[in-house]
Amino acid sequence: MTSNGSTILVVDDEIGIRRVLKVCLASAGFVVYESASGHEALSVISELQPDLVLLDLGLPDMDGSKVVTRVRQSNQCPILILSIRDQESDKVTALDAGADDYLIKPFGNRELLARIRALLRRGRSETLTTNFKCGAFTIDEAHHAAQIAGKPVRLTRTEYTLLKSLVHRQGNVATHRQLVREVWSGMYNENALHVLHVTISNLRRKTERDPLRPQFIVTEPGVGYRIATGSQRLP
Amino acid sequence: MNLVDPDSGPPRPPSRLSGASFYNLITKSLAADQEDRPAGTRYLLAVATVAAITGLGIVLDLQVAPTNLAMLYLLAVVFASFKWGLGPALTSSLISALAFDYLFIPPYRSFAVTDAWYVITAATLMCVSVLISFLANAVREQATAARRREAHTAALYSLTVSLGVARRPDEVLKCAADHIKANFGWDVAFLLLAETGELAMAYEPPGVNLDAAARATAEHVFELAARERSGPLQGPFQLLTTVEGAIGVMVLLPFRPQYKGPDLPILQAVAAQVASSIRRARFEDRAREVQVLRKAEELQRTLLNSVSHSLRAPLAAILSALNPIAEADARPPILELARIAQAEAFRLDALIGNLLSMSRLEAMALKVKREPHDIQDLIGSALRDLQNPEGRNILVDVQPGIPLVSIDFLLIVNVLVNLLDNAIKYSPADLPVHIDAHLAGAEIELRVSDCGRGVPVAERDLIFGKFARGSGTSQTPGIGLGLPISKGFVEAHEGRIWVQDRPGGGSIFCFTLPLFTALHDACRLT
Repeated sequence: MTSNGSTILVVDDEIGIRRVLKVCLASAGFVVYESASGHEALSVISELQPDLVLLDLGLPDMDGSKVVTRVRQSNQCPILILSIRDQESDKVTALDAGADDYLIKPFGNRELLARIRALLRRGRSETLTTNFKCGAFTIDEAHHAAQIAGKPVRLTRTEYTLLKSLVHRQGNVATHRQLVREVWSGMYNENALHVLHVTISNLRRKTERDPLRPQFIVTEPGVGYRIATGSQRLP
Repeated sequence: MNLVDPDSGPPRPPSRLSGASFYNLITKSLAADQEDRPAGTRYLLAVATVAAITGLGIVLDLQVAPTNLAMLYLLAVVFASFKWGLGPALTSSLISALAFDYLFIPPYRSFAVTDAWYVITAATLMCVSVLISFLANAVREQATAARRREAHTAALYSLTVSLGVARRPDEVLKCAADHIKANFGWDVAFLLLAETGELAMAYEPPGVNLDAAARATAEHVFELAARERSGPLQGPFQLLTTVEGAIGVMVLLPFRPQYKGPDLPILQAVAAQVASSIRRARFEDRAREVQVLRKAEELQRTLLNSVSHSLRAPLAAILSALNPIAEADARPPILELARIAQAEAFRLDALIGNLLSMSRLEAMALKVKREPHDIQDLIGSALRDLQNPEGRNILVDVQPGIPLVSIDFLLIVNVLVNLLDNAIKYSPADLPVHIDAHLAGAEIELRVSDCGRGVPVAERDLIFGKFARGSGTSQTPGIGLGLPISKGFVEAHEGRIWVQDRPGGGSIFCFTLPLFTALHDACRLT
């Protein structure tokens, strides 16, 4: 797969991670810029307009979600969060602030490239179509119908809307808060979360062979859900 | 409060001198001598005054009427009674009457009286003199009492001011004791209620000791107060009472059974002041401690975070660099070596994670973010996170229609992964591991069972302790933090964790999780 010389800005204060990323991304054909701090990143983004930003959450000078908010004021380029485990709430904050997806350090090369390509693809394909495909799912928005692996499934209206929200993200993560807002357009609280989990559980029962080992709708612990597109680590 | 110094204002015109201040002026100038001079001198002065009047009478030699002379004698008595007290006044009354009778009433130089009118004059002089002496004495005593009250009020006021500056309870006691010594002339000791429930010496003035008898009385006074029976509160023992009850006793020293100290109301006011100041100082102390504690916790958290970051960041770089090699189609020896390095680096990462979790638990720095979650989702995530390289068969049995649990998802996934990891490690590779979840009363019980050797009864509590490992586990890698961390995480959810025998061999690790009770706070935003 070619990357057409897309430009990627890597923002991380750890030189080790930056070097690994630079090697991996350059060998995949990307042009890589580097920043070691949030402020530097902001000026690089406004000057060089990279196609995608890889943003570490543990920057010394600025909160990750603050960087995301500042970028989003002027720029809609995809932002992929890099974070270690135990930073779930920071991740969620950054995602809700407008970041598109996240990746836990340490990451696999394939997973990294797959996420980056999915984000770049999503940025480009804004065609007027009513059919969306993602992973094993196809949804036909004109007829409010969904298919899994080519076979139609009967979904309730809520289940369909939830699936549509996930499919629209093309394999990127959707946070709990985003799903509650998009599907129920309601207030995010414990009861909304309760309804979300129950709906996901029902959706899985209709689509997964073994709901305990979901293959299609994957849980991102403490963050949200995504549709598996074949690049994720699966059980 | 705005205190105005009376001297600092413009001088008042003399016409506005009020009756009260005029009276004060008179009494002050008249009473000034009383405490200063010895009694003998005062009597002598009184007699001398009478002698002077008498001398004046002789010089004038009946140029004035004897009744007018009697007026002069009266003046002397009034003067003496204000200036030198009751005794000298009575003395001067007597001498005046006698001198008047002897020298100025015919027949002269004799106490005999011929004219009946002069009997009345002499007797009246005598009576009026004595009456004036007593009245003047009463006025003087009232003035003295007023002055003492004023002094005590001033002392109490300045005590309040200086106690306000004292920060710690021991400073309060020292300050109060110094003040009472300076203003009332008494040493005081303070006994305060200790945490053990006994009265302990909190302050003893230097060089003065509280003897056993005084101490026993103090304890008795305190005990009576504690039982809310008003005991015979003696002057030298003042109870220190706050709104929360009696906190100690103030003892005036040296201890004498017969109390002759400052007025009781004043003492009670002092005791109340001291008690409330101690209470305030203790609150301040506690607030300071809380602040110090909070600072320490903050430091610990910062330290944990920075350790987490500095250890894990390079490790993440190592793993991120290794992953592409291990994933790629490298030559077999390189691929093999890369995979070994990768697996070991993963282990190190998990180990650092465990150490951090343990220190967070011990530092009480664990943040539990409880939200409703689906048990199936929980088990699914644990199965995904589990390192199960040999692909051990894991059977899952979840009670249908099981309600949601209120948990911190990541913490409980961690618990489940730990238990599954142990079950895989410590049971034969060809036998399955079971997970089952069911409703047990008002909780959900999760169980991980294996067909291993089981845990001996004697070790069942021990294995949840730090760095403890069961017997016969030395061949298996691990450092023995998985179970204590799991215990900590489960208990942070008010759950329980334990191990029991599996019928037919092996062990069952069980833990409970709280149910999510919906709708009780439907409107709360998170």
